[in-house]
Amino acid sequence: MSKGLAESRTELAMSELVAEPRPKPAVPMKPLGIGSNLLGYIGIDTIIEQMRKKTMKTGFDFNIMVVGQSGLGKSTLINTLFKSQVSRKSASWNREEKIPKTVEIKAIGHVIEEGGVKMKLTVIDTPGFGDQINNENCWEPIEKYINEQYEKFLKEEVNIARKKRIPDTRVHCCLYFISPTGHSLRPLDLEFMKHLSKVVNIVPIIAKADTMTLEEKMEFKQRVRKELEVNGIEFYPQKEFDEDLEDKTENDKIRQESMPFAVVGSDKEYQVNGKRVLGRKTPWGIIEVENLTHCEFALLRDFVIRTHLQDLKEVTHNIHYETYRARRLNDNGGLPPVSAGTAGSQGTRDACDSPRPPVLVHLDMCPAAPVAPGVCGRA
Amino acid sequence: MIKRFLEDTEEAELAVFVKEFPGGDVPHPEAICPSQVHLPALLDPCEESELKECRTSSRFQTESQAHLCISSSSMLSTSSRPRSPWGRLDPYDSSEDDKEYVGFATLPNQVHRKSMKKGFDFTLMVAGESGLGKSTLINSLFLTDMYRDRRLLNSEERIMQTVEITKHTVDIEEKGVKLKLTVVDTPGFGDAVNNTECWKPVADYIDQQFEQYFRDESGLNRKNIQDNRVHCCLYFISPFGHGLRPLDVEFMRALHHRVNIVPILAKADTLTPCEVEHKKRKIREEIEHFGIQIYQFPACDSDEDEEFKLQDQALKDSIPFAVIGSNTVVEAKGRRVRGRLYPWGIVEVENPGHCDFVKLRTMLVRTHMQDLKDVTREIHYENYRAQCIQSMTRMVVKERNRKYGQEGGLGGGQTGREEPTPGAQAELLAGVDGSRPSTPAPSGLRAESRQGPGISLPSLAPISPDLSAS
Repeated sequence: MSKGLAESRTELAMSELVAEPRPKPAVPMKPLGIGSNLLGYIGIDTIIEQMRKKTMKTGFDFNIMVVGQSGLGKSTLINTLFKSQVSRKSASWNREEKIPKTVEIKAIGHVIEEGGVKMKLTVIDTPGFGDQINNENCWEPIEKYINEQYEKFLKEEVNIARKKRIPDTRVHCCLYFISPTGHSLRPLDLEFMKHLSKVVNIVPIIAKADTMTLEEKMEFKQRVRKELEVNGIEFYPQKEFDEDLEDKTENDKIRQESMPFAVVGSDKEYQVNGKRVLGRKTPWGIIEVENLTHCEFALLRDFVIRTHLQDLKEVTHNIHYETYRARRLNDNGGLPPVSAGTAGSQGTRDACDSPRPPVLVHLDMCPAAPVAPGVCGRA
Repeated sequence: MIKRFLEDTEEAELAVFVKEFPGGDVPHPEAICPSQVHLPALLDPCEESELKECRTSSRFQTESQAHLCISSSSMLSTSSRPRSPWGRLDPYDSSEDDKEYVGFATLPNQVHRKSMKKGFDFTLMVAGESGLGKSTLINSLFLTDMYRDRRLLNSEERIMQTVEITKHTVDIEEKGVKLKLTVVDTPGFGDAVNNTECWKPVADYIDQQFEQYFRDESGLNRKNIQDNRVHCCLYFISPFGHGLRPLDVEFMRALHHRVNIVPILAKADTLTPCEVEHKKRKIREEIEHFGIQIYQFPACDSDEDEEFKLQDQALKDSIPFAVIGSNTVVEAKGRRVRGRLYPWGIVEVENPGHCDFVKLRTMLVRTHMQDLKDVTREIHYENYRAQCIQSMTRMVVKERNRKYGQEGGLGGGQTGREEPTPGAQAELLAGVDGSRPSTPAPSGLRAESRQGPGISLPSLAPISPDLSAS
């Protein structure tokens, strides 16, 4: 009991960073103020190791969505990023391949392991986006899918008996493929990013960058950046979520110089200077995918996987998901949606869920009428 | 300036020919003059006229006159006879007796000379999404800079944009041959979010040109008809897709009966040779699958030489042409070439191993330009004209039936006049309605009915037997 009390008080004390006289606690804990001296090694930093061990045991999941017109190399890029055949290439030359009439959402999961760390990677493909003659509102199925994943997570969260580790199917990162026209963004690109940058982390990418010479690339990137800024599109890493100065400078550099990354993808290897590299062989030379002078694939890979992977997940959880959750709870009059105690009815209500998400998404279109508790939490 | 416009062999002979017969400098002007006076009538059937029935009689006349003149000139000594560039076919060098030799085989020479003086014109349309390198390709093809002052739109402006049709004309001259090249561009095509019927402005433009030509032809004064009909449409297919996109299919289907379509695979330096092959094959299959009729090369005559046949076959197999364009000249292997400089190498535009630019240029400019014009004239324009006349006739017949079906002919006549359009069109055909010069009018002809609808349709008699009732 006293230990419990001491612990809670210690937590409180630590958060306030103020030294205060206390009865002698069971565990010697002297809160560290700035400038105070450590009397000895405590071992707080071993928490990193503990977290690492835990993560290695449980693994973690990462959901990445690719959006763009067909033929821009989305599947190839994912394969190149994760160095394995995680995405079934839609460009198989022998197969009869149709452009779907509406945008479909295809989620394929894989488990990749590296250095003892298991990652459950889910690649969400969106064939049919931007391929029709009339592409109005072709982003709606995508928006709906993303919100459905948030909804699923929310339902799990507000369950009375909820799982220890809620399966996370929320989209952590959306790679948007910009066609390398060399001129500027297309109206469809702008519309998509305007609608979705508030719901998910968008990382814009210039696809098939081997179309452009260096000067064209620079000019195009500048133009794209300017247009995104003029239209108020906040792509990941968003300025408003930079936590401290260090993050800000690092992200600023990425935002203003490198993004959008101009990438080339390939899953074939060729011999260059005695090394085997991933690349594309043309009559006028070999384009090396991981060569920074050729394209920025390495930058993208480092960004998404090696430096900002955890941040992508956190922003998704702490910001996008929270926004969604707040909106849903507000719609429901401050109460959570009906929990899993009525799992059966929840199931039937799911059937009526599908036509509804648009109401949730467009906040300005939401009716303001309060909903009585006990009713399925839909406005 | 277009360099190497003609093949080298032709070039030498042509140079000699031109030297011997520049402009109007001919030996024995008195003998040839009378034939020259009739030559305009002779030449026009080859180029512009459609009403052959009226022409036939006059053509025979002029031919016989030409025959007289030429046989008189055949009395000339060998040295002062015109020497044609068609070396071995030169009839004057034949061993035939002068008396049995008529000499109208020089007609091609005369046509040639006249054409050289008149110059040629060619209208080329480029269509495709923006950013596929259309302007760059035009600049590379004709070695001009037609788009110097172009301003690229940013995305916001593009959202408001609808499909426009713009025209740029440039006069090019090479070795005494003048070409008036008109490039019709379609900015805004395929760029919007909703591209339903975005080909309509393009189709309307082509129809308008046909219609304008049709009216000019049917007018009284036909001396200076301006031919703005589109002879060829280069359709740019994006290399980033998997073959044809729905928009490509719809566009080509809407236009294949109006204009010669030559499909082009743009920005081909994105693709490895293997990918180029696959895409070409896929596109060809899809074109066949959807029943799109692109421009077909005319079949080779059996007496063409082997090399030409091979070249022709190679051309047919290269559709769609995978092209790269460039506005810049780079240094490659010590030579200065048009190309694109990448960190991994240099792409040369005129290297047949890198892309099909040379093939496209050969086809468009060196071998098939005249055929494109002929097909436009003989097939697409004829189709349009037939449809036009048919629909006009139908309207007139309907109106007449209505008029005669009503009681009181005069009353019917009056009401008939209130629908002026079919009447006005019929009048125009018969040439009754004065000598209005051709003006580009909107598709609906203006109503100017000065006469009753019942009178002016003799020229339509063969088409519709009903009209003889008038």
